Amino acid sequence: MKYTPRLPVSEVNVTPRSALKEFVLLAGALTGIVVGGYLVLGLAVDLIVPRLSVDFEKKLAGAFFSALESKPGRTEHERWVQTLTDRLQARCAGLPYRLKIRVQESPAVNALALPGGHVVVFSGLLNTVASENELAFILAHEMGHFNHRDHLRGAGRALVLMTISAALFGPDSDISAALGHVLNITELSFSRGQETAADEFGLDVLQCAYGHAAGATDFFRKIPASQDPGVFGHYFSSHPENQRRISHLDALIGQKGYETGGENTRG
Amino acid sequence: METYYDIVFEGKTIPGKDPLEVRKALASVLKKDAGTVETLFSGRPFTLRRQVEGETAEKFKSKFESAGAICVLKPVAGAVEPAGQPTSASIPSAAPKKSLPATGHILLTNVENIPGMTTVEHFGLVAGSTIRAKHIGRDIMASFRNLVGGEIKSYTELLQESRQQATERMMEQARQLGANAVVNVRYSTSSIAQGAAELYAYGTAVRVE
Amino acid sequence: METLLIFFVLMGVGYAAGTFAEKRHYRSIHTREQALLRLPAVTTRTSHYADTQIESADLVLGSAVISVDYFKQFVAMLRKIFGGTVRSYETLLDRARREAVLRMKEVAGDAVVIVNVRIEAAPIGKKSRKGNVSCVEAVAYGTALWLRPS
Repeated sequence: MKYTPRLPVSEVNVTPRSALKEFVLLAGALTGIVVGGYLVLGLAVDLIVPRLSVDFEKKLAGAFFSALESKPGRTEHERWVQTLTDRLQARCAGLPYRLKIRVQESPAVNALALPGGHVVVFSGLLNTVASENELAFILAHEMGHFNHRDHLRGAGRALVLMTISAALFGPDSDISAALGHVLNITELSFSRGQETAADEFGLDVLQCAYGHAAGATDFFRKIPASQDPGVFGHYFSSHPENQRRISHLDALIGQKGYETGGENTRG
Repeated sequence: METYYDIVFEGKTIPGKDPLEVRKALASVLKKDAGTVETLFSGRPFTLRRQVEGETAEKFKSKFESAGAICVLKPVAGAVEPAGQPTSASIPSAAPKKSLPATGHILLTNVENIPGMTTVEHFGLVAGSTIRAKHIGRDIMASFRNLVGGEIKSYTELLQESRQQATERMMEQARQLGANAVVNVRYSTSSIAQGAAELYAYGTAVRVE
Repeated sequence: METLLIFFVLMGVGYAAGTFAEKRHYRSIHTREQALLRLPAVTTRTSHYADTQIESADLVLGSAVISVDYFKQFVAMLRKIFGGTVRSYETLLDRARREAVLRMKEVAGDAVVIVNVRIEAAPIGKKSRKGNVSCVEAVAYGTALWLRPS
């Protein structure tokens, strides 16, 4: 058996594909799918969320926020803010559930609207407000969020995306962590449209409760230009943002004919 | 009774025709890539079509001639067997090449030789390897299947495709060397990437008669 | 934002360096395969040489470890989502195995044939969380035969 030395003509064992083209194609397809999926998801959530019943929301919230529900004893601050909230709710803001106020000791000047009707007010905020009207406006603003179920939309979309990411890549993969960060920034802080709608709601409630709209923009004027936004810092997104909201509120006040000259009740 | 012919190409081209053009034309007529066509010009006779009856044989001959390749029609004596099987050694040696597999078809065994045939020359090691992945939809279906048990068809398919492709590549390499069989074939794998099937097939390329 | 930047830098470096190393390696493989063509490696156990012709036989072995670059790993991950042949790993395995065979032939020196060649490949190195390995080791071994001088 003789040996004929010959070499093969082509590289059979390597697919003749350019590595760079492959990368561009695959990465492009993946981003396209992800973006498309995100948009579809957003639409779906927007359709479903308004139909979620309040009972269901309470049950969901109960699972996550049972710690908040079962706090023993309430401080005087909490009771005072709760009373104010109840007054506002009873007279002017028709929400299907009673808001539960919790005051958290923290220098943060902020308030959070959480699913289930929970509102967490930081003590820093309480120290900053100068009048009852101001606080009332902030609380009414939060009520606006609840009314439009903004908190559910953001949380709903974030939850679904995180679940998908965890299923595809594993819960402790880099991608899931990165997605968590991205969602923190984009989802859990309310969008501008939602903020403006909540502002308008707050304004109406304020007018209804006090007969005038004084104090509505006081809080925004106090915020210094540079402040660390924090995760839920929808009050502090940017100074121009606050300026815009002030102007918008002033315009609305003018439009609706609310007076601003009324007395501010000291709290 | 009709006569059947083998269409044999011995490397001769129509004088005056550009050899490169002939190769290109032949590649498109035979539907093979450049590498395989190149081996046809090695000087050894190649059977391009086996056991074609008279008229069709003439048609093929003229088609190849228009591409620039001069073919010879060699009559096949004895009973006609279905294509793909090597004819047995009982055919009288009036046919110049006996029991060759159809052109391009490579015989595989995992013993030292092709039983019943003589090895004429060998070309050394040939190998084919591939690594394939299934898309993520199938992975998800498979993980559901993990709950209930049973055959995971998508993975079976993946492994079969992988094995098929590795074997094909090994045969392609053998073809390029001018072999028509690969003996002592071995399969192996290295679990290099999770979720992808990698297969390696290697053997010795030989030419048998 | 920084992580994204770091990612792109790693990808770029991986692609550039990896492609350069790969092309250079393939060139070397081609030249050496041409040079060592006179020494066949076969997987059959027997050679056609009679026992009286053979002076000595010895086990020869060649091995190579080739590693993956970041770009290849990322593209492989993308490919596993969409399915198809994972080209980035194909080159890796091909290079490793051919290199191992060439080294085996180099060890054999002026032998006339290497019989019963076996080629194995195994992943080396810690498996990352995704289950991908960082390098592959290929080993080729066989029995080299030397003929009596006639």
